[in-house]
Amino acid sequence: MRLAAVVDEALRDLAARWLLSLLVAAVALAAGTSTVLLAAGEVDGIRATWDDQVAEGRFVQVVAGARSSGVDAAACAAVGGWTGVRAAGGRIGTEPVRFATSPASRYDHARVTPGYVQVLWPGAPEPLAGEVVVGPHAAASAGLRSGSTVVWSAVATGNAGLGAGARPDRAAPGAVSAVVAAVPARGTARDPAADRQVLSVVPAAGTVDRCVVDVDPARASAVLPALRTWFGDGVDAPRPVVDLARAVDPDAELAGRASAWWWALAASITGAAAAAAWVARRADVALHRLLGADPGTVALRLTVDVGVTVVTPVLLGTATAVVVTAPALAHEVVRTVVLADAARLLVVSAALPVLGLVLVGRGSVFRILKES
Amino acid sequence: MAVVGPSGSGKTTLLAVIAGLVVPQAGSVTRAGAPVRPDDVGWVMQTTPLLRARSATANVALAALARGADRAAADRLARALLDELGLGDRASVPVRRLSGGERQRVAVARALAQDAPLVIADEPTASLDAESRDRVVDALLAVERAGRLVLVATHDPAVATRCSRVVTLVDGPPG
Repeated sequence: MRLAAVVDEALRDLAARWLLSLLVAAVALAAGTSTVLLAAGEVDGIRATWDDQVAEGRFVQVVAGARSSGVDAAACAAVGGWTGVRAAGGRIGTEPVRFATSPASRYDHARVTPGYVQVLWPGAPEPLAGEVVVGPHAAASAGLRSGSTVVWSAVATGNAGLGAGARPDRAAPGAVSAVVAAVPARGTARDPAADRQVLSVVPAAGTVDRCVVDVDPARASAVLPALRTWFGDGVDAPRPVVDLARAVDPDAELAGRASAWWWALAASITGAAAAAAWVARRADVALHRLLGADPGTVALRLTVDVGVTVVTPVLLGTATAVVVTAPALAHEVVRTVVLADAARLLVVSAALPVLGLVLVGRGSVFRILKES
Repeated sequence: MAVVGPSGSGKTTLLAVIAGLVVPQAGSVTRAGAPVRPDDVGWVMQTTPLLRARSATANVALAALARGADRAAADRLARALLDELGLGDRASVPVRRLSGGERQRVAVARALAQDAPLVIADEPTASLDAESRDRVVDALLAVERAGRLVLVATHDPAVATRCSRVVTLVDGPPG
């Protein structure tokens, strides 16, 4: 039989048994769709958990002076220039203050070195001279926002001369005023106390009571060992700001994800559906063999079957699911895992003609036709 | 030629050996000095293997396509053969909707379309009424008149008596 006739006949046979063909195609479509949806959903969840952990400070290290001796401020600031370090800074000291706009409440004014604010709130602007960053809790309770002027005085001297409604141009002696450069939208897990603080940046001189370092996760393996030896003796070993005992290991989560085997199960179910359809049409294949179809011709027919009822629906299903999960697939780790699972499903599906040959391409034609 | 014998005497097996579908334990089968190849044989069986979801035309055309004919020529040949066998008005009907006798005639038409020198009919009239039986036998005789050798396995005397030669199988396989 001519090649074109073999393909044409295979397509016509599929159309004649349209219900059977449709059932197989529906299973294949579901396999493709579900493989992408399940993998994308699960891996994106792992990725989001990882991102949350990084945001909370999984890779933020804090270095404190041993026995309250402090950490060299210049050494702390220098770490901020390392490759693999996103920001680093130290807290020189804090003092209790009251705001002119909220004299009944007590807050803290923290003097920090350059980089400290960026460790607490990545992306926040570095306050300039005369500017401060106010923690969100402090800003909300004192009615402060970005661009407004905050006046504060130390708690020990701050009460005299300040009453309700006091304005900066009538600040009491000892009061300090500054422009609010930024009020972060949310508090920070990297130093919860900062939520109630007004932070001003001062030169890195003297010592800091704690040096915090925000390490790039991709470079952590190089940075962390260097950090342990950088400050020399007299400091405690760097430790993470978050409790890693509660942290989830994303690599272990990825390796153990439930969707890792779904593509294989989906391929098995699809293969079973195709096999059932072929067994139902076993006599038809035997008839073709009786009329002279050789194994190559039978294989071609089965390939057409698989192409139309399995591979095409799998592709359609995966493409549809890719569109639906596009936001998740924007992340490289999700994209890599999902496309790998989809590729495995496709490869196994494309190999189904071999199964078909085993099921219906062999055996005595005579016996098959007699038994049909 | 009719091959007759009681059930279990080996009629079907004999035909399968002749057609090259079953390897004999001993001996060989030749036609004009050459072994018989399966595609030299057109089959008409008791439960005729047809593509039940396809039309009568498609089933007959399949045999022509298998010989390398193009689609248009195969369809033309199929319709002509079905017309000749009295199935012209049923040519487009799916086989599953044809009667038993009509299906057997479709099988005969397919055997003709195969242009095979040998046509083997294994109990082609079983389960058919007398009218359908006679139509099928007429169709087989038409095949013979077209120059093919027709072997019919049957235990129906009404069929055997219309054949030019009758071979009787008395015993089944030894032991």
